[in-house]
Amino acid sequence: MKTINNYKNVLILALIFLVSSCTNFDNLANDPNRATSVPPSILLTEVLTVMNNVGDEGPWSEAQRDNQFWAISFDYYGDQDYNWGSAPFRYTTMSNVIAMEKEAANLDTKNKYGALSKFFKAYFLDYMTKRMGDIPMSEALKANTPEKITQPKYDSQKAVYVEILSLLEASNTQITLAQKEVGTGNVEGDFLYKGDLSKWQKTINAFRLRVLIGLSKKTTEIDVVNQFNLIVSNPTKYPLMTGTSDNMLRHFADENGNQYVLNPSNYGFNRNRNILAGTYLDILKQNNDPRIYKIADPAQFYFNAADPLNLNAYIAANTGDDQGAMQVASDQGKFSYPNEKRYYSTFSGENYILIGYPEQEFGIAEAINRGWITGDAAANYNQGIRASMEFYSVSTSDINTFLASSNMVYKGNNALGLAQILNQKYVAFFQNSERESYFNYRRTGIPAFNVGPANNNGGKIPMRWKYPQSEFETNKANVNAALTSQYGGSDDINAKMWLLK
Amino acid sequence: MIVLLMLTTSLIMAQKTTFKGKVVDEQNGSLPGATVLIKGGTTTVETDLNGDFEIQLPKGNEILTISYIGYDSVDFNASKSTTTVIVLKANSESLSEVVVTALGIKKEKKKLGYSVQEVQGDLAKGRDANVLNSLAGKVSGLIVAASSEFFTDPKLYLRGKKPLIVIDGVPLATDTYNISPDDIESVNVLKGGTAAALYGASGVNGAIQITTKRGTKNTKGFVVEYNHNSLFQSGFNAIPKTQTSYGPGSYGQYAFKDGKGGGINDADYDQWGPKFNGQLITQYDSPLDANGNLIATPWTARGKNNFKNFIEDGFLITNNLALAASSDKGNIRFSVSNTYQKGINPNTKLNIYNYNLSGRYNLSENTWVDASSNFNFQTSPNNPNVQYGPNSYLYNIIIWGGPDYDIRDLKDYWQKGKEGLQQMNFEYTRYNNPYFIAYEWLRGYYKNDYTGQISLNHKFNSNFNMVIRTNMALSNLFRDEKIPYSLTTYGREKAQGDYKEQYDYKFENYSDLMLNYNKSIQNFDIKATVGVNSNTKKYRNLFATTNYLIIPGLYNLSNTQSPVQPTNYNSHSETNSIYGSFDMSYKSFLFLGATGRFDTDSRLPKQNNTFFYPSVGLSAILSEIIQIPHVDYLKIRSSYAKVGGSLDIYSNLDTYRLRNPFTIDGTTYNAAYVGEILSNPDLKPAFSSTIEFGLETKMYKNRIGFDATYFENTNGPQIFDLKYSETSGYLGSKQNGITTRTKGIEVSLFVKPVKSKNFNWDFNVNWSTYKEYLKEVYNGITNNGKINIGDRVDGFYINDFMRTKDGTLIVGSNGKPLVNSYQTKVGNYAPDWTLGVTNNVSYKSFALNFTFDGRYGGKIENYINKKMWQSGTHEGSDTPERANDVIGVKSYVTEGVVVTGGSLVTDGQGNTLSDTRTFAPNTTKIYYQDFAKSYNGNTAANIIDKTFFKLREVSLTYNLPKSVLKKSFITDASISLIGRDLLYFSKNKNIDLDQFVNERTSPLQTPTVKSYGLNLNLKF
Repeated sequence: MKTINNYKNVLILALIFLVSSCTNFDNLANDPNRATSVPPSILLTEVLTVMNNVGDEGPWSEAQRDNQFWAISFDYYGDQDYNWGSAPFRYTTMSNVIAMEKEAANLDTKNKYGALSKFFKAYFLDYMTKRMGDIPMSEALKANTPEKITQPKYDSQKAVYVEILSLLEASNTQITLAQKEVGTGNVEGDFLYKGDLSKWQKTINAFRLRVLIGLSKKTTEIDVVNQFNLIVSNPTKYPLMTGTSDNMLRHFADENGNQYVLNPSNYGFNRNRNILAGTYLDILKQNNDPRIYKIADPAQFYFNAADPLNLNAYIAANTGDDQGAMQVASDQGKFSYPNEKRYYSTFSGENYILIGYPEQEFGIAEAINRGWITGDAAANYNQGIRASMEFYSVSTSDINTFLASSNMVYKGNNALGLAQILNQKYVAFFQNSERESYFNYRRTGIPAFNVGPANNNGGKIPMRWKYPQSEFETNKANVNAALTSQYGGSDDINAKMWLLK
Repeated sequence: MIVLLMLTTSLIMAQKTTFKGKVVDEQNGSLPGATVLIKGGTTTVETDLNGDFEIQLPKGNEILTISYIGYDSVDFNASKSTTTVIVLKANSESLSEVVVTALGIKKEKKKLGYSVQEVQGDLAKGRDANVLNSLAGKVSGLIVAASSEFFTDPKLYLRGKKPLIVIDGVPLATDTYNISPDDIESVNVLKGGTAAALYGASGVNGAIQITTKRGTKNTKGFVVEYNHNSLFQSGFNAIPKTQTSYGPGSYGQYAFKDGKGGGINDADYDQWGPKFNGQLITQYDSPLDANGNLIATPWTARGKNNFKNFIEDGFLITNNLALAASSDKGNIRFSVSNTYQKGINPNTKLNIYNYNLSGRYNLSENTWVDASSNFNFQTSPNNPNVQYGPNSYLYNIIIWGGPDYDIRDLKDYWQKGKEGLQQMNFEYTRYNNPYFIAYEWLRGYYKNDYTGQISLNHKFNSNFNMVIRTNMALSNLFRDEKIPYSLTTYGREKAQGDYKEQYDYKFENYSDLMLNYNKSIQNFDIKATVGVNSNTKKYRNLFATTNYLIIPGLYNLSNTQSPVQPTNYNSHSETNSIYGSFDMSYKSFLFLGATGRFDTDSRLPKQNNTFFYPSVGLSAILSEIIQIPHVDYLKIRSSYAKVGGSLDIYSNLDTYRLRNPFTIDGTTYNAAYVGEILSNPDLKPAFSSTIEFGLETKMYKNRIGFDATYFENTNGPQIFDLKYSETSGYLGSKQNGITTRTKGIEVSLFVKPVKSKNFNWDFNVNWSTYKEYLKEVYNGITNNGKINIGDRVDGFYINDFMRTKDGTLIVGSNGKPLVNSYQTKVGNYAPDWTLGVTNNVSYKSFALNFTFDGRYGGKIENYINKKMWQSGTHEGSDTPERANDVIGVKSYVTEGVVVTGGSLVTDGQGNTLSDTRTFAPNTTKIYYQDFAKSYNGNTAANIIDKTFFKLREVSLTYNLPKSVLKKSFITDASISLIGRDLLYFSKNKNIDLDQFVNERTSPLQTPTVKSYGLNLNLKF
């Protein structure tokens, strides 16, 4: 029968259809493009990239303009109006720190990554709290734990600093232990120290000194003095940086993703728009500082080829100046630009110091000046200057001459001496150590920052950044409580946080 | 001869004759689905797609009644012959039609409880390279935002959301450039989830259904159709206008030295430079003196029309040849099309070749196979990148390029002696010679799409049939990009060339098994369908790029200065479904329809990956039971549908993400980070539902009528990223939540003011509006970002200028306007309403059609306007104060006030806590340049209405009279004069707003042009 044959055909086709449409869904659930477990090294690289933060706070960044090392005349590329918005959070990076710790937990490098992770937690907590004030800590980073806290409450800045200091202590202890372990693997993915734990340990302790110096107004509330003493007096337990070779550095080169921000291929974008700022350049001029010839070119309009070293041809723009007027003067050749040979002739520029030996020495000098510890402040002060000048390859004889000049000779453990330390610390911070020069200014008022018509913050240098707007959309009650307890309910960039009171 | 027996008798009579016929309308068009009934008996058959039917006639009872909705019934005595052609006359009182509903199932429109609109008019005449662009204005509730770029699909919004595109019952898996308008039989639009419930999750926002042509024949046994369409493209609809008084530089200062920063503002410059007064300034083409120094030359506006001189006329030529034939064993249609477009940008063209083959073969009376295949090849050797940047012509010529050079002098774009190495240009840092871009920065686009479909149809008996259908679509896209030495773009400032390749592979299989059952019991008609469906999607992508070239001009991935970095991506998902539909009608006035579908989706967590969703519709034709004066037809309908939805593939997994590698000190580092959105193992499918009410009426003998719909789409609970405080360590997690509600109205009105033998005029008006509100978020959370429950979801927030309570601008101490650091709402970005009007006028052999459409309301940032104010090229920037800038005099005083004391205290979101500020008028004089950049160049000064209207399509057709053609081999011939996008009405003539529907800002676009041409159609 024809009909029966048709049924058969139909059924066979139907069967083929049904069989071909059956697949095992379990195989489809996993993402073939992504991993569920990774080596801790590539998480370390991620964390270092965020800590290194070259784009936002590295050389010739907006942060270095806020630090008043340089000014921009071209309003299309930026300004220096100090009308600050919010600071970034680093909690998702801290999630990567936790993940790094977790991924290393079953490896023989557990203590190495563990020690670093404690340092990173301290680093990022400090990063956030000194920018904004109170931040979540005790309830933070718990979305992916059994507690499932998605709206953490804020902790006081004091509690945050107690925790930072204790993390740094624990980090030093663990890294000491890790270095004693035999036959364990190396820390990989570390583009700053190539896994050299002894350098890491020095940085951890140098960073602790930075934090303690930053707490100079809080010596009665936190045992700043005692901790500073403990570290400086016990180099075996708390090794510190011993020279510029210990600097935590980023090298640049003509490599994929590693070019110095000023280089031959962007000369045309920046040359007559990036101008050295007066707050910095005028300190060099006043002191006849040989570093000026390394970092700056003389203003063409004033330059006299017969007298090439005349400092009168080194003209800075003031950070507070109107940008339009600045651009007009720049087009007339009336400003000093970044030294063309140093900054525009290669893709390597100069190294970017994140945490450096000069800062450590000036910090110790300040602690001696303040009477926290005993010692020869002048020695550390001179060592800081020398290390900074060596960074610029100033000759030893020029360094010695400079150190012997009347402006430079240390004026003693008094306010004048402190001002010398802080001014030279500021100079050593040129284009490095993210916003540390601003934080030192904010704490001490030294050197005086320039304010002028370009300032859109009521003629003031702000005291802080706002909390991210996303907080008001996701954690409103807690962030508002933090604003109320600290700043009268307003996210005011001119209000003083606990650290500064 | 093909017979599609929908209802037939199972009785076998002893003596029968076979009668074959064809049912046509007065224009000789076939009428599929007409009912042929043996008078006084119960035996009926329906005509097939070609209007053909075949019926067994019992001896002595040979009168047939042929009826078709919308036509007068005819009785025909079939005893005198065995074949015939029966002509039905249109009936102005029977007013229904058959439409294709979900999965290709045909239903009578009057029986539907939801909104379906058929596209009126010819899509082939006033065509565009993309056929969907021809739908603009023709469907209420459908927005077609056409792109002016090659191979960019138009953005479609049906009730504000992206609809599914369906070809012959199967969702389109490739792209819309695959569809040749010559192969389209009809297009209809199923609005809302109700209509599309059977397509599954992808049909949640409705569907645009395209039915392709099948084989037909005329008296010769076959039909050959040839269509030619030529369009000439010229004349801008929207073009930014520039000032021509000032050239490059800043504050009137400019002098060229090397174009690399060696002169005064000669690199990466603005257009705030010196006024053209013929003064001597060194320029890019200044001659050199004996010492090799540039000799200053007169500064004049040499290139006032640079952009117009650069842009060329375009044309679009389409040829289609189709052959269709049928016999009693089946039918076949073969169609080949070529679309060739020469773009208005120099050195751009596209070619689309389309081969379409469809056919049917009858295995037996009750079993047939239907198959179709489509091969589509799209090529363009150069498809320029129009996005804002040094790649864009607008960027290089209109925004940042001035009139100081004549673009025609740049045609010879290599520097003498440096051919292949160094372009010749007016600047050598940020900008590129536009001709150099056009002829050397080549971006190839080569796409091959293959679609094949085969279905087996079998009738078990007159009530029960089965369809097995499988469709496979393969798509291969290859793109490459050649970047020559000396060309600079963002992030590639070393300018040493690059080469990139990208491969995309897409595979989709869509298979169905469907059982259909029909039964009439007294006054009830029942139609039921049950089916299973399997849908598989695979995607692969591979991308690789050099890191600068070693050998200039050799575009090969091995020719790279450091190792090539490839990236790739794979995905695979499947959905299996069981679905059913049930339709029941009572007499001819009450109709009930219901559907249900179970989906199992591989993208969802295993325990929740199977889900069900139903729809139900009810309609009544009131005009069948009550007589209302002058009302021919009155129908009310309502429907409800729920549709389930899945989530983006691999988006609910906790995985690490890799970053691009980088190199430090010779070592390559990779970084990985934790996914910032936590997965949710308990995630359920997304759901949305639609409820709609409709009213259709036709009055005054079918001379006027309308179809009005009110709908509410409840979109949610969706699958969304619930935002956590970032301090929790994560940005959020996948959750079921967020429900929005879209409320809207759609009205289609038709009017036939003139209806006579020689002169006919009818027009359609389509109007629609919708607004979407946030209804719920998640467990006690009342906001989603800045949008609170009850707000419209399309709130447009920007950093506005600071203003006093009475709206006066507040100016800073620097004399420039102050901008609020907190965002405030300036409006909504979705349009308020959409309007389309189509007109058809015919007089004897002439027919005039035109379409006018547009949108009203909605806000957008006019990006090019903003950029031109920043750069100084905006035509409005040629002011008296600007003339003072260039002589070093600050003369502009920003109108506004300055703060003289007190302070504004706000909470953390910018709400005022206290305001003690005092103000005084601003008196600070600043450069006009500083004002223009900070005020006119700010987003806050560039928020505009999206309102525009267009004269979209005009065609004047002359159909050669049959009397003329009688003696030739040609059966039909028509010639049309056509125009597209002829007029553009908007307050903002510097951008074509047509492309922007939900956008908050307007990315750069190739300026839109008018098209004129002719269409020739011949049938043999």
